[in-house]
Amino acid sequence: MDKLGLLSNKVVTYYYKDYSDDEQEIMGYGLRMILVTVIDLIAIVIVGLMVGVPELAVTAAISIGIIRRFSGGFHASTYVRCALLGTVVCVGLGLLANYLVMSINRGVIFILLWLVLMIGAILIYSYAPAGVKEKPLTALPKRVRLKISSFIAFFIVLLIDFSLYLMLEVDSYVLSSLFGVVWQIFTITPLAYKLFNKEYIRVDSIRKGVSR
Amino acid sequence: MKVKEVVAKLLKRSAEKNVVAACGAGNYQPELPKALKEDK
Repeated sequence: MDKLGLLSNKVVTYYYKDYSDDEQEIMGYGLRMILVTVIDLIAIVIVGLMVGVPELAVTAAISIGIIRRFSGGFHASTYVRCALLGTVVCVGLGLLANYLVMSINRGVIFILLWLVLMIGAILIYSYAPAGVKEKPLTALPKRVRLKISSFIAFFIVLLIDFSLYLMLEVDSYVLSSLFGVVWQIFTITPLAYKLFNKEYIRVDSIRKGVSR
Repeated sequence: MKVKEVVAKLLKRSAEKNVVAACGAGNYQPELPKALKEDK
């Protein structure tokens, strides 16, 4: 177990001596997840501030997080790699959005919105929820629930993007969010698992109820 | 309800809700606790 896991378990064991071992283990895991998320977000804000796009980097992170919560996707093997990858991706997407918003016209963004909507829906239908070795998602009802939730989260994020595009004209935020969606959809595909050398857990046979 | 119990609930919920996606921005998924491995 990594240091963050050991620290979380120590804190929980110290404050919750009267709880059962199972409960302590679950709470330790919960604390670890909160800490990883907080460390990630702090890193994104700090590096985002350094390169001048903190708000765009956080926008991308929020879009990724909303969909990822249900669709899953490949995972880094340690929390340090997780923080690094999360920071590089979100700040990179923020920078890209900041650069592109000045060099492309609004019509292109509108086309991108529709493209992401169509291609994203197909990929979510095909690959969500994407399991990982540590959590392969074998139960059929849960997989169905997560696929439906993935669609809902995806449509909500895009609805917000469309609304921002049409009403507020904050194109850099729209692009940043859109890039976050594209990245997140990419992480559920077998190609992403292959590129990042991760074992792909196939969970697409929902109708058959088969997990391979 | 005591603060301690509220925090315990929050931590349990964090663990249960994170079974698919470990963290929003990043991509870390450590091994699940035994009690959460039951796929419901």
